[in-house]
Amino acid sequence: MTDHEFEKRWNEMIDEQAPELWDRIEMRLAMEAGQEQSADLKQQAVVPKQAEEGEKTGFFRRLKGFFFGGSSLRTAASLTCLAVIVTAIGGGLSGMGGSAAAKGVLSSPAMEAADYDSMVSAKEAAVENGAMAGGDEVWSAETSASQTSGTGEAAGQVPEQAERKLIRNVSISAETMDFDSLIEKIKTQTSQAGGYIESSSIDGNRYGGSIYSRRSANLTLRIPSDQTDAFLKTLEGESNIINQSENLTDVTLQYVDMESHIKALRTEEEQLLKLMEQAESTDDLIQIQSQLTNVRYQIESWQSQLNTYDNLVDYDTVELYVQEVKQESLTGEPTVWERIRSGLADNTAALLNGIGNLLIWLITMIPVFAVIFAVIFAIIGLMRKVRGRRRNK
Amino acid sequence: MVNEEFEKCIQQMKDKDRLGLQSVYEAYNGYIYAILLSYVGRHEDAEDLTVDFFIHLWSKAGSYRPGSGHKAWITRMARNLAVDFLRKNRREIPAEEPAEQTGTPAQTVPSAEDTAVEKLGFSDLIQTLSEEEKRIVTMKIRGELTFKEISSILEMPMGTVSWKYQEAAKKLRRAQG
Repeated sequence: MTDHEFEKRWNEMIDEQAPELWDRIEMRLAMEAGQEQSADLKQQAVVPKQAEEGEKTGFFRRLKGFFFGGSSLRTAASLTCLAVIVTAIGGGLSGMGGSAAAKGVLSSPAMEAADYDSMVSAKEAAVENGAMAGGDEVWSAETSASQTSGTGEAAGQVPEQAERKLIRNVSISAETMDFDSLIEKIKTQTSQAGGYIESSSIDGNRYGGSIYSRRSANLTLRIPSDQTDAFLKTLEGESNIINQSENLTDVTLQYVDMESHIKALRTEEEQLLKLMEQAESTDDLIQIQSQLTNVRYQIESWQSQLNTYDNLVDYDTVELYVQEVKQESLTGEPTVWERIRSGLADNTAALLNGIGNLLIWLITMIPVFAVIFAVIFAIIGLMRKVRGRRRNK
Repeated sequence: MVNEEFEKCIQQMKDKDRLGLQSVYEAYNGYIYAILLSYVGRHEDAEDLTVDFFIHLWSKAGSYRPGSGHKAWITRMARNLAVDFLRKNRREIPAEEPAEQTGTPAQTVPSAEDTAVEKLGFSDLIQTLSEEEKRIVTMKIRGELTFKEISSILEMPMGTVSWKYQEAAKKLRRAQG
């Protein structure tokens, strides 16, 4: 058989054994395209929330702080007013006093985005006031809400707003001059809020080379979701926060998925139990038993995942990095005088530091200098001796 | 398929046009399947992996660097998929060096092979090759790869690849028609 023949035969063999797979590939492509789409939708639902979340830390946070401590009814009322403002601005509607309350309330999806954890109370208010609102007004209010913030779309997709499962992660870098008491306060605050410290590591003072590192701590705290804002506020008062970032993950879809999975499995379990009662032979019984074990095992495993989610949703994660400083960083814009003063102080410190370093260098180098001078003197002495001898000759 | 055609297909894939993938599929389905089969052994697994391969190709079309030999690129991708698969399934990755161990008894006893082989047809003879030899022959003939490319993909010295190929070819050439 020639090389050419051999190659031909090999190619034929490959063609013969090749299976027809294009249909399967197309199906997978379609599936993946579908997943991408649903992922996109999910993102649409989440992203606006996060975008607004940023705002929340500014304006809304302050507003909330202003109303903080009031009864839930008062909070709801104040939020209602807020929503009215938002609605009026966005929709360009001439808000009439009477129906304004209803409109504001019904634009709660927009409001929810701004302040999700007051949602429950806002919803209660919505139910109360919603009863008074006319049908047409309901519709127009909803439309204007979606025009207003763009979250209306997302809100429409998932009706049970209040049951959204959100995992909140906050990470904060803070500096303090009083390290010990701050750490102590954080610990007491955490336990007071009903949370716990998941992990903590504290680096002590150390002197490495010419760099003096001050103490720092890394703490991971788990705070009950409804307490987090209060906790963060206290922290703001106790220390100088230099960096704060928040991240919300919406796991509603996964959560609901898991729940329905468990539900289906429970139904199966019940049916199996019924079957077991009717079973006549031992063989049947054993088979049903093993299936039952399998189902129960699955329920357990789903349930444990669900519990993990529950924990993540119920307890916000706060990652805290605290550093001890000599002087807290300036928070406001410094005045000219402040800048002169700090510049002068910095330079003086640098100069003193330099002089100190020079002194340290000179002193620490003494042994080396001693050896060098000893060698030089020895050489000079030797040379003199040699010269003296020559002269003597 | 030449490089230019392949690049055109890649461009189509980047534009989410399935025709590009389909052209590649028509050209290389058999090749990829043969390579994957030589790794995983089972037809079902090889079929699944072939589907995975084209899905992977679809999503990774953007990472193809034009100009480089596309055959080596897809071969490497298939090989990585197969190795990943074997690793995940905790099966032994067929050693890419000692062919004697994976071969059939006919190979380990050359004298018996010499006598028996005379009467065998081409397809019977293929059965006497080890999976690794099949892989190399497929890459060389169907994939039109150079020994250098094969040795780099299989992470095996070039001399070994070339020697294995010659051995396999020698066996196959004895086929009777």
